Amino acid sequence: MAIFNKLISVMLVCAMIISLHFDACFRDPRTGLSAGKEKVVFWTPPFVEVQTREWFTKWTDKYNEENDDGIYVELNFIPEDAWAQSINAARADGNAPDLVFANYAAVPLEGNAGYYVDLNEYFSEDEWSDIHGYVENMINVKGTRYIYPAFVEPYSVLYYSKSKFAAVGLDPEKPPKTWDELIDYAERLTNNLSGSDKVYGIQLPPSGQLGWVLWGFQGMAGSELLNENWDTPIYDTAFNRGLFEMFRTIYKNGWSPKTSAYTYNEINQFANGRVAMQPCGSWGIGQIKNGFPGILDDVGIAKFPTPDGDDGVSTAALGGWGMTVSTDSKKPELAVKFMKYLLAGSEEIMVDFFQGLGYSKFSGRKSVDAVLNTGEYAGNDVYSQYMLDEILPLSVPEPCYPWSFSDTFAIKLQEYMLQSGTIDSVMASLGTLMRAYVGSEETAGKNPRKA
Amino acid sequence: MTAATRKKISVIVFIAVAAIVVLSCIFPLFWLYTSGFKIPSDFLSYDFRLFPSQWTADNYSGLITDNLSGAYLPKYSSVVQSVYATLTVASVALVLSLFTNSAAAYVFARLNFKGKKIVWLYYAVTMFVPNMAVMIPCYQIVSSLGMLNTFWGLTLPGVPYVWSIFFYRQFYLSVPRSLEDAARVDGCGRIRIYFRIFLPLSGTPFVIMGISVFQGFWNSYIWPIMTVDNPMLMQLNQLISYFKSSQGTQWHYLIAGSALASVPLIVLLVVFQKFIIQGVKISGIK
Amino acid sequence: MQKTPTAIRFFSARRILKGDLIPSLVLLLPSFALLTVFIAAPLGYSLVMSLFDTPARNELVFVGFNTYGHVLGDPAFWKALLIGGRYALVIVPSQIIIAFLLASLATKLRRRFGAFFKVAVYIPCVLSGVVVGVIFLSVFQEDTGVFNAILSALWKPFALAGAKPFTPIAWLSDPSVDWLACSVAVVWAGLGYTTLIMLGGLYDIPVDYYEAATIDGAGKLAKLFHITLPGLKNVFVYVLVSLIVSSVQVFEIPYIMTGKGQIGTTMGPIGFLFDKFNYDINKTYATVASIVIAIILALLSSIIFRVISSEKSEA
Repeated sequence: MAIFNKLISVMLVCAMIISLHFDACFRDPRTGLSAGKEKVVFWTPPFVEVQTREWFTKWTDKYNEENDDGIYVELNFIPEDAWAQSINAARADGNAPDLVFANYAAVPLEGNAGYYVDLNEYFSEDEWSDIHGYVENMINVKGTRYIYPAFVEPYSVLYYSKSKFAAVGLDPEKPPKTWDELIDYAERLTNNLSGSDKVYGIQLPPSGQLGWVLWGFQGMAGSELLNENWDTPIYDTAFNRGLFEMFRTIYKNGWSPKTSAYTYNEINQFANGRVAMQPCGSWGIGQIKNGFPGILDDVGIAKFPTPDGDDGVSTAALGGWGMTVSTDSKKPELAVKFMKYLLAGSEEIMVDFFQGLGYSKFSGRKSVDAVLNTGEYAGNDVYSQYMLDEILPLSVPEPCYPWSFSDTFAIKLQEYMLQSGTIDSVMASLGTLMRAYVGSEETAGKNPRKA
Repeated sequence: MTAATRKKISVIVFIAVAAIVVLSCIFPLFWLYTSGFKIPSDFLSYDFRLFPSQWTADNYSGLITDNLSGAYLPKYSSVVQSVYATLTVASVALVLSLFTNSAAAYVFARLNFKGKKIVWLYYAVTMFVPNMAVMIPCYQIVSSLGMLNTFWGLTLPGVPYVWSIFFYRQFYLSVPRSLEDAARVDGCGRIRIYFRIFLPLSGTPFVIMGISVFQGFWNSYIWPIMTVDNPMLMQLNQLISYFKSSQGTQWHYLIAGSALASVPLIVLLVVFQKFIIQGVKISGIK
Repeated sequence: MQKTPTAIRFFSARRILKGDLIPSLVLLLPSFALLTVFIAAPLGYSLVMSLFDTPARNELVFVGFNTYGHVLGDPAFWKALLIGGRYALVIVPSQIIIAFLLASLATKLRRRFGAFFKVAVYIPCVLSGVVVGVIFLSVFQEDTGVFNAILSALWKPFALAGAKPFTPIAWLSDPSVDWLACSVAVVWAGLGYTTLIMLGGLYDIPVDYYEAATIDGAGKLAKLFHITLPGLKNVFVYVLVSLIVSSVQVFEIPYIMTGKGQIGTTMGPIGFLFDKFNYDINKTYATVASIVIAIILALLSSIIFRVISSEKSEA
């Protein structure tokens, strides 16, 4: 018994010593930096390009050194694997970070649900007038503005290989403009070889991202999947039927690879030469410049074809990110100070951002674009100029209704593409599902953008 | 065919099958380690490639010498530090898990008291709930206990693991009662019996479940991402997840990092596998 | 030392009087406390919250069992659950059978080879889900993958004999086989653990049982059915229940290999919950769905437990 007691007391003492040791060994090196200052916590996902991460770090550090408001900004990169879980957990705990870098699509609903601060309290209408009209459409939710834009990136843009066009007798300066041409080119560009010599005409967007990739076509379609009041689904249109048929034709004839190991976001299939055409976002040109510089001269870009080849029709949706302030924040005025410094302040900071990315993303601010169009940056980049002229002005905002609608629409498109049902039956089952979601997700009357 | 020939053939078949199995298990590991030496452009396609087109130690060295902190990895973080952090978290958690869960298993296997069925039900119910459902309330509890961003916030929530209790219980059920009866005749209390008889016999189940538990902590990243932003406390797979994003992945670092992360687990495996041996339960008496 | 005899006698008297209650409490207390704080309390909270909607920040609306009705009536939920069931139907028997065979093989190997075999077989388990996913992404590629290459080589004799040539199968995108490819990857990654458990169970069976049976003239099959399988019963119950529960919930590996599947054919219940937990503002649906899944799995497991239960595995 005595030995037992001795053993236990020795173990307890060891345990206490060890647990003290742990705290000391894992002291956060950043606590010293924020001593005596007001701490503002800023969360952003670590974007894939290391230049973006370095941009965040560099300018946050500069601000921390130079600002005379006694503010220390703690920049935390939260990996995407657990981004949503982390934000939701922090919100449930009432401790959401002061500043959140957010993607535009989710912001209207979340803002209206009370998670973001209305930035109109801190920005004047004058400051908002610096924002491009097509971006203002996206961030303005019945007058409220929850997010200040950092950048926008339209999708889809059609990338094509000029040499492959020439090899089958197509004019490399004449990319397809109508859907019929797109199908025709896809057929002609697919070769009959096998193994690693096989080339497909086009890479259809992989199923994993199709749900949001199709948002790029809603401007062309003329409507989103729900009507303005969000009580009736709009799905069985001539445009959608045409879209379904086009996917099926291309897939069933083998003009697109059946498997892509890459996501829609990655330009690899095109850059590796596996496909002759690939729809991807504007960021694709940045990936080519950084990862596949050798093929840059061969790359042509075009706006995505429309059903009848009309000009003046939207061919893309605007993806992108900006900054928001959480309502949980105890110091929103301080948070906004940093936001204004980083995004709405000196153009130099944002120009640094876009330059590091090879101009594959675009500014929401007219003043920044003014700088990018002059001096050493002017005419720098054929590709971004094309996108600025032809694609951005007509781009539409991403829809903000619940994900189930987009997801179901994409799944039905895939079903039609892969199987042999009739278009009528697929449309009918799609309608049933979407009407069910209107009921179960109670979307009627909840459109944040409805005037 | 003589019996001897049949035996020879069956031996050859055994060895062939064993060889195929071993090869299919080891080959990917070999691929993983050599891929760590590849240059980034080798990863631009999923075509299978065993050896790098160009050997480079930059990936491994970049990870070990912390050149990536501030760029790819968070500022002040370090792969070496995170190995230390993950090692301490996993080890402490493992020890706690082995003892607390096997003690509970012993109770359910051998002891009896009023309300035991209800308590077992209480434990069992938690086995089937998907982690996702309880992560956020658990976060709130950990936060209210002030354990966010701390060592104990990483170790304690993972210690109660009813599947391991179930597992030890099944092993303890087959311990011959004669061993216990002998001890009770000698005057040992229930608790003593646990420490003197069941615990020493737990070599095999402890190794099997222990490696799995250790691995669970070693490979975990979601809970660490949610609760830890202190760069000194970040876990290894949490750091590795910085190389992944929906827009693309830095494969060369991800693969090299995963290769490094697998090494301690394999070392543990090699060291402890010898405890999975024929038991000494020969009709009850040691 | 003089205290000891009295202490033991005191202890014995206490033991007879109070039964097992006190030792049970002492031994159970640590796990009970940890379980309650970190798992049971969050679970209870989730159960309560499943009766409320959370349409906005700090807003709670009591809806009772409404959401349960929505979930049970949602065809997408059942589709995901059935896909989970399909995974279990493929993964569980293959793991159990292959693990048993491998474990039996391992018992016959000599010391050094046995050690090497144990380590080798477990190695796939040590790899993280991402690595396994990437490996099989490469293996199952349609045009350049190893799997199709092997199949094509095996088909050559038939092709030479006049059958039509081998067309590469799109393992990762053809809805009729993509779940199969994912199952192969999951089985490969989990096999080592199951094998070691089976091995532990086999080692647990006293050697002299077999010796006695040989003396009695029992053949191999008789030994298998009367000694090995009954001896493995305890371990088998654990393996069966834990494999079913984990196969239904398989998520990471299929997600990396095929996303949710072209038309959702590789998306099990957890994949279905993933987006709902993360992006829906009203978390109730996801909470309720996970509770329903837990109830279904618990019921299934208790049925299995009862059916296989013998006097050995009863409490």
